[in-house]
Amino acid sequence: MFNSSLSLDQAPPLKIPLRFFITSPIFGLLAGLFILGFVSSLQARSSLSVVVFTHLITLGFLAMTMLGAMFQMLPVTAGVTLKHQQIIAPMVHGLLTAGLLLFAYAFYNYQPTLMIVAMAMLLSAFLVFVVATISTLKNAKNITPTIKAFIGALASLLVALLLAGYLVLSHVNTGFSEYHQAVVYTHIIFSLLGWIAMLIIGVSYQVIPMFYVADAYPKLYTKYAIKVIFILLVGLGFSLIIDNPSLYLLFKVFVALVLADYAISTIGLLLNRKRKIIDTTTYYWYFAMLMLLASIGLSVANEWLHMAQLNTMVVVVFIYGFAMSVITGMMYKIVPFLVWFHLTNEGYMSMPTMHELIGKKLTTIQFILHVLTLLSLAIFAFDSSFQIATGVLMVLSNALLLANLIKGSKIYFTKRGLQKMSF
Amino acid sequence: MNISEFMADHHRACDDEYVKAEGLVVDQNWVEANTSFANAYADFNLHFKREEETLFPAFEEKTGMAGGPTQVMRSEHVRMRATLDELKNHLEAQDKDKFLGLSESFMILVQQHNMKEEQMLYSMMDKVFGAESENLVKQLP
Ligand SMILES: [Fe+2]
Ligand SMILES: [Fe+2]
Repeated sequence: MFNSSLSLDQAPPLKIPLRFFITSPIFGLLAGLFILGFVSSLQARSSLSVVVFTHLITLGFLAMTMLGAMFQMLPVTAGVTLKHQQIIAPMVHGLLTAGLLLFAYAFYNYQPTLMIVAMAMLLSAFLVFVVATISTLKNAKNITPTIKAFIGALASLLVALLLAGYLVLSHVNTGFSEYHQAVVYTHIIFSLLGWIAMLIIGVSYQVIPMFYVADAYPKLYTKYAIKVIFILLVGLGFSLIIDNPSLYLLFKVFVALVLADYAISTIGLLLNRKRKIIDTTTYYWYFAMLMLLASIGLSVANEWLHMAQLNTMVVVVFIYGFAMSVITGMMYKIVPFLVWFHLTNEGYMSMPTMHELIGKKLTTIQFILHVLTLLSLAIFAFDSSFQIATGVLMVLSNALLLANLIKGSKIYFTKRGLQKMSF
Repeated sequence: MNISEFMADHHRACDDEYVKAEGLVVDQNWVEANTSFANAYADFNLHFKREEETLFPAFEEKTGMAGGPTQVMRSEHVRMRATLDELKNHLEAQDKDKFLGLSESFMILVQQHNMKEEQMLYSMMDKVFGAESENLVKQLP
């Protein structure tokens, strides 16, 4: 039966997702500063400074926003309210923020004990979220494809975290087993292709029809894609551990096909969308999908080219070109909408519209800065002289993103120039 | 046709008409935009009426759930109606920027609402009503 917890007030208070959304560009900015100060080259991929930089983006920007989006979307898509969200959200946010800062410090300075503490904080941030989500979702009678993708993403995240725990412990014991490299790769695979890609796919199922009045993704895709990807990722990890390159290549080609299918479907849905209005968020989505296709193509090509730098570039294009672009585009839609939504909910009239809240000019400039940052970062993978350019662009692009998000949301707190409807 | 199919089709029809009006506003073709918007306005209201006056009461009676999901949907209708009226004012004032800015919020509101109905409420209704569901569809205005 329809669950009775479908409350009138499903949408969580604005502060809950916003706290995550505002923090993300701050970590993006920190990542830029970190490049300027400490990353002289991307070529030594396992060097600790590259590890720190990568996690400032993947955890600080990507996971941060994704958690905020899930706090927002879970109740709306599943028709349930997350229990104790007023405590859970700040707790998850605080543990992730503090854990990541400590992680950066401990790894950069190679302090094994602090590494374990940081790891424990990050682990508990995600575990708190997972436990709260599961205990809420068991009340949801209707498990939509989006929720299934969230579950797949969280399962992948747990795998990635367990492997990360193993890696941190081997740093502490200063003993690297023969499987060390295989574990590193499996960690990367589950983080990027499991946690990040699955989450973005799940969000797309919901957001592409909702924001762009486009058709839904094909039923066949929404039904099987996540399951298939998960199985393929397990296959990839397995072939790495048993060290079987041809099995690995086979699984890799299949993952590439499923992800390419997603990118092409998304471009198709957007091209055929009913609303022909073009805004910065549509640029972001097209750009993200093209970058996903580019990273897939380069990654498969590198099976024959065998260039270490190209591998780095694949990861850069996937993280900064694909994932970060989707997420930024999503925030530009979701933040002004939520501000409008909550203010009208509270009875305010003569609201600035979604377009007026940030303004197309500022978001377009930020988009261009983002594209230039990616370009510079991709070249930096080959040419260390791009350190300064990359760092500066990354700082600028994230600073403007931060300013835009603050500009778009501060009216909710100041209520400047708003009139309240009198009943 | 059962409730899910019929009502989801009508969602698409409302979208199509509305998006057409929105496109005409982009081109500042105010005369045709007015006609198109009036059609969309009527279509949305017919849709709300079908739900509020026929489908929701039947569902509430059958399940005894008066304060549940249908109540949430009704309150969202109130919101969408108010936004439609505000859009109408902007259209009459030929204020393109205001119209399109608010239109952005309106579309998200509508799509989110429609998804909830299509993914949850309508399929519940078809389950609850079984074979009756086709008859209910035929009774709709
Ligand atoms: Fe409705
Ligand atoms: Fe409806």
